[in-house]
Amino acid sequence: MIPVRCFTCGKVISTAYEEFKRRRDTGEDPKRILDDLGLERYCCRRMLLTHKEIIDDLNPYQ
Amino acid sequence: MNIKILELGKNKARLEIQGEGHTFMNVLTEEILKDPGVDVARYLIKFQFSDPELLVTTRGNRDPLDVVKDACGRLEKSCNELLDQIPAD
Amino acid sequence: MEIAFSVLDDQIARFRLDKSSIAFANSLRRAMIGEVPTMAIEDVKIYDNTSALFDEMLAHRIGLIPIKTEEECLIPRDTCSCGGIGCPSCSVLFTLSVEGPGMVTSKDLISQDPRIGPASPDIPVVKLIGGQKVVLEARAIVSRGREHAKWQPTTACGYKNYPVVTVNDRCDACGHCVEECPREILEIRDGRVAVIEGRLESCSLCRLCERACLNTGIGEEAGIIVRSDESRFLFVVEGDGSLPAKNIIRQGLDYIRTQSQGLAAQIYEISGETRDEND
Repeated sequence: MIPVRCFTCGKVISTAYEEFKRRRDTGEDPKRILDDLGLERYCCRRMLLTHKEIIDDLNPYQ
Repeated sequence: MNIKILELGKNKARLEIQGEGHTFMNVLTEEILKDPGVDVARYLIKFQFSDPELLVTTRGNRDPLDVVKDACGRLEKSCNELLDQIPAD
Repeated sequence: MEIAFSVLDDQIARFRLDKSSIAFANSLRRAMIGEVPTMAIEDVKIYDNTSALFDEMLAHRIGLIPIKTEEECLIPRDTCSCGGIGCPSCSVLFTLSVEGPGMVTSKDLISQDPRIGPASPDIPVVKLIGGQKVVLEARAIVSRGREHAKWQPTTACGYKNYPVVTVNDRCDACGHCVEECPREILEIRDGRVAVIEGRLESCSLCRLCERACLNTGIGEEAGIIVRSDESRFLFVVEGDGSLPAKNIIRQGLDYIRTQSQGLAAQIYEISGETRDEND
């Protein structure tokens, strides 16, 4: 799961992840998406850029 | 807020101010130092979670406790000044 | 002291603090981050959790959700008359009960008090597949940022000194500093380097322009000098949604004021006593 807040500054970034993922998968430039989503600082930007979602891999196991 | 007087002389006072941190103590000592009758104003937080100890020494007939009180008054005044300037809802 | 806002909305405030001191500016910054009371979820009772996240991970994520607080509708737990057990005047109960498949979000947290709820409805908590279930009860309390970062009302909160850029007679308008400036605040005007109108506040005081100037072989002294004004500060206060930015500033100032009043009152009491003894 994407962290709720940015580790460094504490801004809530998890709300932006769904849209980021959708638009990134259509091949849009991540820079443009992040600017659109209002993530100005590089600490918040790296949260989305470097996130690897593994919840779907873990979910079948209890 | 509770304070404990550790030492009180004519020109020197040492107070323990309970429940304070750097946030208030730093601005307080700087404000005390603006007083021309003050010689030394310093605070010390011995360990991370201990209460700060304020040391004030003055020159001449200035009472060290009055000096602290006056500095508090000035801080309060500038806060009020700023609060008045924040636009109302 | 004076304050002049350039941006002021619910999320973010930018302002200039004039005729102040470094100590006061820093104290205000610290007060806004660490001393403004807000709400966050502190205790979580988990009745059922068959999701892929551990209980503690789930509780941690729920704790980080900013809770919108109406000013002074609750009091801190340690000053409450219930003695810290948790009653409706010092805490708010949330319940969450979701069955998969689907995403558990912050809007699934149902508040007991209609005035209080998550600042944003779409914060994902955990993703569930069919058959998984999360049932829990969470209690939010009022506390301060110095206790835990989840009670901080601010995200980016800081200040910088007001920049003072002076160009002296040694400047030969070579333009090296204009190219070097990362914030693009300089231009060549009337055969001399000058700051572009209205861009001075973007200066980050990095002084790359001074270095670029010295590298041109101008001599020991640069033609452009960047200094900071020690009595003026540019503040940025960005809220996380739990409080409007204006309230954060107001309560930060209020903290300094209450502390000064408290200390003055205490000293007045003590010095009154000692004087009585002397008489």
